[in-house]
Amino acid sequence: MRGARRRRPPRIRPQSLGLALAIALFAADASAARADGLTRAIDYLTIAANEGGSSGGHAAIRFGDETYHFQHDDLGLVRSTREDSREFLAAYAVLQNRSMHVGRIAVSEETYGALRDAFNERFLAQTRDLERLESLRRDRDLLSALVAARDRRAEGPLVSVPAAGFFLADASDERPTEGGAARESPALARLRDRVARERGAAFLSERRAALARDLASGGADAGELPRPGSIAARYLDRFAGVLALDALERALPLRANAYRAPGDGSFALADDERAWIARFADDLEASLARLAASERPGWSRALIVGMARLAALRESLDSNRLVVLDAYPANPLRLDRAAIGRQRDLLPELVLEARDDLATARASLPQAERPREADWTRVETAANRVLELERAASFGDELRVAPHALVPSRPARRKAAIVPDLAAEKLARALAATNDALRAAEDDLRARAGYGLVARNCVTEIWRVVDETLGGEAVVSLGGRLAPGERLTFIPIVSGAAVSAELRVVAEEDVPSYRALRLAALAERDGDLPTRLRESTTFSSTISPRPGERDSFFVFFTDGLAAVRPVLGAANLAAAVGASVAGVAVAPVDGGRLLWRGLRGAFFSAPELAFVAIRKGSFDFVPRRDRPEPETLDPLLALAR
Amino acid sequence: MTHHPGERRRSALAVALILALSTLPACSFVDSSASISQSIGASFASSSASSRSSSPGDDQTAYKNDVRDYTYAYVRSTKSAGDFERGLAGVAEKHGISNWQSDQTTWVGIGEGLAKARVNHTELEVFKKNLADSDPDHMTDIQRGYDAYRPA
Repeated sequence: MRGARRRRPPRIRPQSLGLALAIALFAADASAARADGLTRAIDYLTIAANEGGSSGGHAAIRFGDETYHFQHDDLGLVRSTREDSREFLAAYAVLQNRSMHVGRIAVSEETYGALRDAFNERFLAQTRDLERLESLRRDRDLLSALVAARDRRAEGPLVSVPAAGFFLADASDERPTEGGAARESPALARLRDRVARERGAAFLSERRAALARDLASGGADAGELPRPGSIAARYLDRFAGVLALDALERALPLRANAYRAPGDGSFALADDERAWIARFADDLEASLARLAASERPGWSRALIVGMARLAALRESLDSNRLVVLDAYPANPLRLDRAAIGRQRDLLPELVLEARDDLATARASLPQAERPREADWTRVETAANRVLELERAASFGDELRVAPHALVPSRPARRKAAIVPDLAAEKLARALAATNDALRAAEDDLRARAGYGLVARNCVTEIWRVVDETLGGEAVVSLGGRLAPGERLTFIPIVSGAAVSAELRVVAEEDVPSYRALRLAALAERDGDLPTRLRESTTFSSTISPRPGERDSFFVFFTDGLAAVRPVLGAANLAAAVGASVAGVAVAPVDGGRLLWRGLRGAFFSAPELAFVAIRKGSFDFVPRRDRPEPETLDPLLALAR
Repeated sequence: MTHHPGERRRSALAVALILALSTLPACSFVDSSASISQSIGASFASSSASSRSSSPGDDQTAYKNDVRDYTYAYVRSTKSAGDFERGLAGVAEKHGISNWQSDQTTWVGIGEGLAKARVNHTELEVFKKNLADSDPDHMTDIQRGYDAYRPA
C-alpha cells in the first residue's frame, strides 16, 4: 500500500460546537483539492458491529445519494446492494443503532464516474444473475409439473398466474364464482367497447384463440421451446393473456376481496383529486387498449393489473371515495398476533405516520403536470398501509409487512393447459436442459459470489471493484491502493483505518448511533450522571423503553461504559442464563422465544467480559418526530450534493 | 525455545483474533424474513429515512436514472431484447410502475442510456427501431433523452 503524505484532514463531528468550523475547514481542504482537478468525493463508510445483523462490523461506499454495499445472504452469497444514502443511514445508524466512521476521498470527475458506474454495473449484473436463477427455477417447476401430468395422463397442473386473482378465483377458493355475480364491470365494458372500436369487434376473441393455440404448444416456435430461462415466463405471459382477454370480453367485476373501499370520511375525494383520477383513468384506458395488442414480455400481467386499477378508479369516481386494490404481494412477511401483541404500543404512532404519508401522496396528485402510474402507486401503497395497520391496531390481527412501493400482483392458481401439441420427448428434453442450465448457473454464481469470511466479504468486494476498475491507476486516482483482503483489511474497522491513513482522505467524520445521539441530548438536559445511570439498563431507559424484536436478552447497555464493562457483562451473562432457564419453562407458551433470546444474550455477553461490546440494542421503530434527519447525523451527506 | 515479549503479544493477538473471527461473522446479513418479520417498523422501510417524503418529481428522476443506467449496462452486455424488456419490467416495478411501456420517462431514460453508452447515430437508429418497436412517439422520446444527456 502506498500513499502520498498529507496534512490530517479535518474531522467533522456532528453535534459538536465546532461543526461550523469543521465544515469551513473541509471547504478549505476541498478548495485545495478542486485546484488539483479533484472536484468530486467518494465516502468510505465503516459501520460498528451489533448483534444479529453483523457482529463483525460492516462497510459501504457512498457516491452522493447512492450507497453501495455487499451483504451476506442466506444462500451464502455476497449480495451487491444499492440503497438511497438517506435510507442507508436511517437503517444502520437509527434502527440498527450502529455508529459509523466516514472517510471522504477526493477524486476527479472521471474517477468518480468510472467507480460509480462500476459499482452500479456490478449491482445490475448480479441482479440479472439472480433473476436468471429464479427464471430457471420457474422453468424447472413448470416443466416438471407438465411432464408429471403427461406421464400420469392427468389433467393439467395448477399454475400460479400473475394478477389473475383480481378477477378470477384461486383453485383453493371456497367461493369460486368469478367476480361474485353475473353483472358486468362498467369500466371493463367500456374498455372492451373501445378495443372493439379501435381494433375490430373480433379482435379480443381472435387474439385469445391465438394465444390458446400457442399455449397448447408451450409457446414453442417451429416445435421447439424457447431456451431455458424464458420458458415459464413465455408460457405465463400467454396463460395470463388468455385469462386477461377472457375477463375483458366478459367485463368481469373485481373479486370482492381484491380491493378496499373504506367508508371512513377521510377517504372522500376532493374536487381536484377527482379531476386527477378522471384524467388518469382516461389515460389508463387508452394505454390498456394498446396493451391488449402488445407482444412484449410481461404485457398480460400489466394488462390485468391495469384493468383492475381501471375498475377501482372508476369506482372511486362513482362513489366519490378512494377505492384501491389490495396491493400487498401474494406472500408478504407477516407479523403474527404474538408479535403484534408485543409491539402494540407502537401501532398508534405507525397509523398516524401512515395517514400522514397518505395525505402527502394524495396532496401531490393534483400538482403533477400529467398523471403517472407511479403517483397512483404512492397513493395506493399508502392507503393499503393505513388500512392494514388500522386493522391490526383495532383487532390485533396479523399484519402484512411489505416495504417500498406496492405494485399489485394477486396471483391465482389456475389449471394449466398440458401442452398437448408438444411431443413428450421434447418436453422431457427441455426439462433436462433446464436442470443442466440451473446447476451451471448456481455453480457459476457460487464461484463468483460465494461468501468467504476472509477472501470475499463486504470489504474485499468493495476494494475488488475499485481495483478492477482503476488497476494501477489507483495510486494516482485515490492517493493510494488498498488491495482486496491484503493484511487484515478484510476486517471493516481495519479497512477504515487503512483508508484514513493511506488514501487521499480530505475529511473524516464520526456518525453517532441513534442511542448515542439521544444520550448526548438528554445529558445536556438532565445532567450527565443521572442520564447515564437511568439509561444504562433496559428496565429504566427512556431511549429504549422496550427491547428490539431482534435483540437478545440483556440488562445493561455496555457500549458507553468501557471501564466497568466486564462487571456489567458478568451481570448480563447471569441474567441471560437466568432468562434461558426461565425460557425452558415457558417454551410451550412462547414457542421458545425467551429461551432463544437468553441463549443469544449469554453469547453476546461473553465478549463484554473482555471489554468488547458488540451488542448495542436496536429499535423496531422510531417515530418521525424523534427521527433525526440523516444530514444531522452525517453532515458530509449534505456536503456530497 | 524462547520468544521475544513483543512476538508473544503478537501471537496472542493473532490467536485471539482467529478465535473471535471464527465466531463473529463480518458484514451485514441481508434482512431475511426470519429477522425482519418480527419488526413492525419494517412496514415503513422505504419512508423511514426522514421526516419528509420524497416528491413525485424526485421519484421520476430516480426512475429515469435507473432506466438510463440499466440501458447503459445492457448495451455493454450481449443480452437479447427479450432479456432487456424483462429486466426493464423489474426496474420499473421497483418504482411502482407495472406498465413501463406507457410511461414516457422510460423512453427518455432509454435514450439517455444509449447516449451514456456512446452509441453512434447509426446504432441509435437501430436501437430506436428495435426497442420502440417503431412506435413514433417512443422513438421521439428516445431521441429526446439521447440529445439531452450530459454526463454527470
